[in-house]
Amino acid sequence: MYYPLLRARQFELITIRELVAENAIQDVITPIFEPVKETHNNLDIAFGIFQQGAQSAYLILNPGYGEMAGDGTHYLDYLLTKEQGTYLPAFRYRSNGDYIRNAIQDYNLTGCLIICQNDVNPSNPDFSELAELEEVVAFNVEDPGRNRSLSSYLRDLNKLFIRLDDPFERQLRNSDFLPIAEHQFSEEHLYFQNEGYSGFSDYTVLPSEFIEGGSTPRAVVIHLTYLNEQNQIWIRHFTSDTNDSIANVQGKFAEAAAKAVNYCRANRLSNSALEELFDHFDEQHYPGLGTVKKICMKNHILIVAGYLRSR
Amino acid sequence: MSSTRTFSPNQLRDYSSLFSRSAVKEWMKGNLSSIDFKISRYDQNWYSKTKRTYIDYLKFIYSVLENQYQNEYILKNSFLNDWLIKEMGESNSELYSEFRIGNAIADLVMFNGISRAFEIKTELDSDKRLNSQLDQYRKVFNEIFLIVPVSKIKEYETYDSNVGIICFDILSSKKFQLVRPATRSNHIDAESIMHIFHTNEYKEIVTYYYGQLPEVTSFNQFEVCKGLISEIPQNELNQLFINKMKSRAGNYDLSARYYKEFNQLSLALRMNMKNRKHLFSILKAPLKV
Repeated sequence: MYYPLLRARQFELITIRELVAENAIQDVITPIFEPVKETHNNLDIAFGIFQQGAQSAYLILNPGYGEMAGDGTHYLDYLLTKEQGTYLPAFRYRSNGDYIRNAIQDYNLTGCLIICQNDVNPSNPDFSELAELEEVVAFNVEDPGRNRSLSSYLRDLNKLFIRLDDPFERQLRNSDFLPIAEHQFSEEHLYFQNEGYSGFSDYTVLPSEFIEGGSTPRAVVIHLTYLNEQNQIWIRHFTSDTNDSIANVQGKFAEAAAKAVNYCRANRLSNSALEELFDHFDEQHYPGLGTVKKICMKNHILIVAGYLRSR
Repeated sequence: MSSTRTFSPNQLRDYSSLFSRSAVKEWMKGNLSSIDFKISRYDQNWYSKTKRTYIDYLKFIYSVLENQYQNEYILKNSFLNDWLIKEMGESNSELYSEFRIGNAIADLVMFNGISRAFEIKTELDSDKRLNSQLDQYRKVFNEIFLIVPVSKIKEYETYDSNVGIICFDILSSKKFQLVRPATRSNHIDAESIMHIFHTNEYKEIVTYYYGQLPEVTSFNQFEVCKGLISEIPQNELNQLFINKMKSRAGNYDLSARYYKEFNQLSLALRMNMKNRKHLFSILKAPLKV
């Protein structure tokens, strides 16, 4: 099972909405959304589609970033307004066991996911009292191999144990991707089960850092992942060439898309995300940077879902 | 408390961080901790019977900086208040702070009947990049001015004689004086202005001048419009460019009289009247100390 960690912004939610509508990810993918906006409009739209498509998604109730960051009740109150089973409760653990235990009790939550760093000491009662609650059913731990006592403790609990990796190598500037053609991205999908994990997580093809807003880029990059012959996931960066000013973002997209489309067609790569890219390119239409991001995320999730479903 | 006190350079530098975009963005959200921090560090006893709001404290800091630490903020703000706002009052003008042209960023630019760029060089600035900056400005602006300290006039006079020079002495009663006027040029480089325009702006210019926009796709519209725009005669293109920059207008409420300490910040953050009112309503709160 793959648990992509995504901010619950418009294009992240549209990505998952479209995949659910295509019936492409049900049974193998459960997204984890970290809301960064105070408003719920985009979450509301997604909720209806997820519910109809029998897709559940974790919602981090005490996000680490954004307008309502911290241990509050904003998203807890929101969760209560929704029928159970579609948005599932998730918490970021940061020595805040009391807060999470109280929230679970006060809001009558079940089936909770706890997301933590690997620096947690399992013998610390603040953590262990939380971890052993019946209402806590899953853990998501960043780079868990580095804390064996935590890993061993969590395995013994016989709950879901998900590893979180951050394979996307962010560059200082988008234009820095230009000389980087392709490299291996991830092979967790091949090994997670043999290594005793119930699932794996990453940030798809986005950087893990949260950046509010964003300015017009000097370069447009299309990040496409694909399975190689050994079923490893590789990533190719298709980067625009004229990156000396912020003008003409449409032209930069045209340059990056030409490279991506030529590569995909030559290598017979195709799925619904890539088809959308081909259509924009063939029609010489610039769809906006949000859609470019959506296509990249969607392609990656389709690659992983396709692999998991075909095993 | 009077601003004739002497302050250490570190303290002045620390004070100057209050007049920054990031500080003001926090204030707009109601977070005044950056100001509380300076008060608790330096000015625990800063009180007077009549002056006890955040805005009073900031005005005090501004006056200290104006007297003892003339950084770029103070200079730009004074130039706005003493020179540009007067000129704005007389005509329909548009001002920008930090206006990007190619690889250079002009400190202040003004569009009314003509386009003008102002480049500030304080005592602390080097002139290393000046030639390449001027090369960029010449491609777009009708007049270019250097704003330099009195002590450096001779040095800067050796640059391009078409460039105007304004000298400053911020502590004198007439802070800015014209040393040499700028020679006006109507040369305008189509390639350079294409990189300034937003997409809808260059499309509107083509549509306006040629009566219609040719059939373009989002992939080729930039190149097609650039070709057409480069064929517009220089004088007309200059006017179209100025009009377009004026129509980007923010509805600023710059004032040489009220809250004049904050004009440059309003401009840099492109604050409209409503934002400005909101900011001052927050800063009018009594000090918490």
